Amino acid sequence: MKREVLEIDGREVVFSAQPAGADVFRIQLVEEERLVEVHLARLGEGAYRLSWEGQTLRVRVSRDAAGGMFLVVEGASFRVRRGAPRSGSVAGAGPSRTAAPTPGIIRQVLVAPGDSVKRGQIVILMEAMKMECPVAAGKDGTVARTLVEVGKTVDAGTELMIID
Amino acid sequence: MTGFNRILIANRGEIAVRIIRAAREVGIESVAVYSEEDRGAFHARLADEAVEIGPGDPAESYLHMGKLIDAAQKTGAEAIHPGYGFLSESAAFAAAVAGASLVWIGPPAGVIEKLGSKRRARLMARDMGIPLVSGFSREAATDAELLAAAPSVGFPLLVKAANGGGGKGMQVVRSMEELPAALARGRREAQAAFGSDEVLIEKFVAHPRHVEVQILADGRGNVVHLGERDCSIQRRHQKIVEESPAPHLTDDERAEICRAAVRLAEEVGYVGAGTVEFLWTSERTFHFLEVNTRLQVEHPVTEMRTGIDIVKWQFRIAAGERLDFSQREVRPRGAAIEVRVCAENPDENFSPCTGVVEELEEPAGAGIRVDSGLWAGQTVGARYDSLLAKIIAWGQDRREASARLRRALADTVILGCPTNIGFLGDVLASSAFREMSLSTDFLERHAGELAEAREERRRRGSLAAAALAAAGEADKLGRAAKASGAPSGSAPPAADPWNDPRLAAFRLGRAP
Repeated sequence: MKREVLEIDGREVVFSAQPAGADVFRIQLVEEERLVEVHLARLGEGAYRLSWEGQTLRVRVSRDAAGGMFLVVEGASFRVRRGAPRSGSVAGAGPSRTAAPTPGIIRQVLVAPGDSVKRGQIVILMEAMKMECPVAAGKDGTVARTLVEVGKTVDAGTELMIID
Repeated sequence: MTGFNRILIANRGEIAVRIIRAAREVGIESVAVYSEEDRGAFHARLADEAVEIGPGDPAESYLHMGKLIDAAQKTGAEAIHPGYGFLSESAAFAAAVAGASLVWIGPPAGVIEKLGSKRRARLMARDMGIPLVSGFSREAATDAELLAAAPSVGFPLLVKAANGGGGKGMQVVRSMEELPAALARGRREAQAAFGSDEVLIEKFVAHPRHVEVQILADGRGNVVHLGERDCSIQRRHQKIVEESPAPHLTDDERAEICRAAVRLAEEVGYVGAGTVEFLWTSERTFHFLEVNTRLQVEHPVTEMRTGIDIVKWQFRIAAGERLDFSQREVRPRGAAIEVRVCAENPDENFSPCTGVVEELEEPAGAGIRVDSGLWAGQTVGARYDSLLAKIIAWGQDRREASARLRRALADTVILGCPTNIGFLGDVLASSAFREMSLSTDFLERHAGELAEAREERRRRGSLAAAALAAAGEADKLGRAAKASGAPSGSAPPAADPWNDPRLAAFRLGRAP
């Protein structure tokens, strides 16, 4: 069976799947031993009913602008992309980057170029939904430059500062 | 009957929608305001008139007193309803509204001022013999004073904004070493949220419950309570599940806490709708926390149980009417539970999420109420509060209310913007919630059970996504078979959601 990789909410999900009849798929998640037989019924545009292991779930799907899928499974949301988590996304940000943990507005830059900083030190204060959100230096080093200005709105995962 | 022909709602989102609907029901016209970022917003479309008041930054729009008053005067509104958050607890705004010959739908500036300072409210409660959590607060207390007082208050302690609620600026501090940084952060958040950097410290009570009492006062000597709410399930000091009645309280305890709230309201000369908040401890004692001089986010829980429309009573009291019912006539029925649907990721410390709502189906059906400001096509940004909608369920008992709410959550479809709905479902389904093991550290105490539920939920998502991805593979096989002359055994060619051109139409701004 062919292995496939999805990124779901920043997590890597590896599975193999094979068709087992009309709209039936045998799926094995890589972290599990068992094969799960999933039955799929199409209910209309972007609407499905999936069942496995005695449970039936209503699933709704839309495509997002980046070519991924957005899933709602019995109310719960999942953002799905094909392939492994990319660097630059939140999950793939890597511990050494100094990146925005959440979308928000830059409120204060606490260090200046030339300052030496320690990994974990709070270097930037962001505001997200009226809550203060501190951003920590991703590694030990010297601040080379700040990539954002105060007042700017950034997306989650945006690199905020270069530390050499 | 309500005295006003036209009111302005100085707010946005679900609460603006709630107030507009109440106004319409009693024949009052409503004027909505919106920022540039909220163009096309549902609340603005719902109102009889809508005024754009400035840029997305709240300081230039929803917090700008001059623009709001100006909008009210230009549109001929006679009164302003502030909703919650923003300027709702600003005595200065209440005074400015009154000064502009408009009616403020809320307690008078003097009452807001007396109660808005947690410090002064605590002193008053203490003088009345209502128990308090020990702490230290003094007008314009300096860091030095707070640091000096900390050892006698004892660790762990809480740093709180003195002039606002909602958990903004609030932090648990476990040692003297952590205190200076916590004070600095508390002051910054308090300044940003409430325009005042005053903070206070108080003893941190382990595993308390948050129990609050809804009151209505007509300013003519009549004060009633509409029962209590338990809002113990919180994250980062912000409520996520609220219910009434508060589980485990005896009738006597319930009566005592409600009576304390009414006494406090009488003492201060309260006018309008308000909420008196208490901590309920594991020793079955209650301690006064604060009074919120506004409509609460969770007011529908009380409305569902009592049948009393709190927003309409706000209108009537502001217009000078008397309460036309007595305490004895308030007869709460059954149980009600509310959850707050937020654009946030519970797995990443509840950090806010953004997105475009491509498709929206809100739940309905027996016993379900939805207070929502959402609309399909809406861009959910990082600018405003992450609260998207509230779902409230009523049942003859807690079990029925909870089952209805879980059903409603599972019926909800919000495509394009991540929400906490899956997590809310996990909370309601947990044995901890069923067994009413409530405390403000519910999420920490029951982290193990909730983590298991999260793994199950993630597995459902993974299998669903995998099956849909696999269905795309099957379609290609199906087409290949057709091309070679073999009968097509599988799905129609457009079943792969990644490649389904019809689904592209769900993107913002395009008609399907």
